[in-house]
Amino acid sequence: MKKRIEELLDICLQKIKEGIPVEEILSQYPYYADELKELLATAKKIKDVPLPEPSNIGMASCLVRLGEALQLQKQKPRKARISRLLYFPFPAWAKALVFAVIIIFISWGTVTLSANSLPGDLLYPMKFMTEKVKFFLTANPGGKVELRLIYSEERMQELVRHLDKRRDLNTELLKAMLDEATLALEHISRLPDPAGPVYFSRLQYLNAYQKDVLENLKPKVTSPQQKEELENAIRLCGNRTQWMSRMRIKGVWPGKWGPHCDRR
Amino acid sequence: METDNKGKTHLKQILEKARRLDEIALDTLAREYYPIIFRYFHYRTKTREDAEDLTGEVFVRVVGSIETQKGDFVAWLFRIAKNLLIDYYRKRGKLKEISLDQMAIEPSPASYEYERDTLHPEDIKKMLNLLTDEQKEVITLKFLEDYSNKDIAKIMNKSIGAVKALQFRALSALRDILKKEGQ
Repeated sequence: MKKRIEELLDICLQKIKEGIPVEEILSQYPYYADELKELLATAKKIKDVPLPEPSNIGMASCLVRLGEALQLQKQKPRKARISRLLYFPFPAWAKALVFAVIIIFISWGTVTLSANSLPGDLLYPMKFMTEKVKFFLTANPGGKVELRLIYSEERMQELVRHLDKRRDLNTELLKAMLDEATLALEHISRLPDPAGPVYFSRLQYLNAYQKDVLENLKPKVTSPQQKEELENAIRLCGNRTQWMSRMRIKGVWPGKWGPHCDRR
Repeated sequence: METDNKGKTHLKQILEKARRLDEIALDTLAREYYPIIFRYFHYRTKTREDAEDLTGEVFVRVVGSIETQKGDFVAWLFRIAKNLLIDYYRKRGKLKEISLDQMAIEPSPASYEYERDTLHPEDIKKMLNLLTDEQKEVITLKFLEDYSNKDIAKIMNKSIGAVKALQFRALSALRDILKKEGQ
């Protein structure tokens, strides 16, 4: 009921504004006529009050202050004004988008910079973490093998750069390189035909390549212990390459793929 | 206020220039809105000087931040005025400049010149001070400044329905005050 009279009052005020006589308006709402009449009379009394006008001195003083403020505003460093223009006039979603783009750009930049890092560098953990995340997010078994092959080769490249730069054979990298290749073989054994033999072949070539690269590193290694570890790795790569070559010639593959599957 | 399309376009053009700190545009805005803002303060402060000083300060602040202003300009102007008024009250340590005792007094000297049915500007000021801040605001905007419900809703950041309800309560309260005062 109360809401109704609020609405009616507003309608009456609107009609008065349009020039309709009060009596005519009230006759349309006889139930509320008495209350509306009082309220409309109150409204009229308020409307009839002469408006207080500002003095000319007040207005002039305001314009002078405005002029002074304008001069000060114009003298403010332009850089600050530009930065405000860049950030504040945009809606919230645009600010969020800009923020997201900046974050993506920074992340992308960091990952790119970390790509050439070596163990001991500030960004190396970032590179290592990126590889792990990438591997975790890869659902395709073929993709996982691909990543293992890439990581094995990457460890080899790091080993070479590390030796050139720091005159030291990083045995951790050597081990990581061989481990990645072993893990790649494990994943290959679970792949179906024809992807399995293709990746098997690629791994064989990678092993052969790694053996050659390690052979070339031998003159640069001075420590007897490191030399021994390098020799072992070369031997392992060689053995793996020979074994894989024999498997391919015989047409017998480890794992589950293809009609030539060797389960013995 | 933006009452029609032509007026809106005109205001938009002036605002665009004002945002680039164009002196003529800012001057135009000040001349246009000074009386409205002055009256806003006049009904809420003790002296005319206070009202004029605060009005001037509103336009100083307008210059300071118009470059980044967005949304409805008049609503923004009133927000600046409200914030200044809060500071003004805080500095004086009280929320009402005119007390209830001051209201229940004989009419202002000048009001003898008016008919019995006509209120004097000082009387309305005292009566408005008996209303809540929101009731006072809706009365001044609707009946003294002649704004539409839509514009008032924007300025007060309320729905049109809430403005109508406030208008009803404020008029009812003023009617009761007038009855009490025998007007």
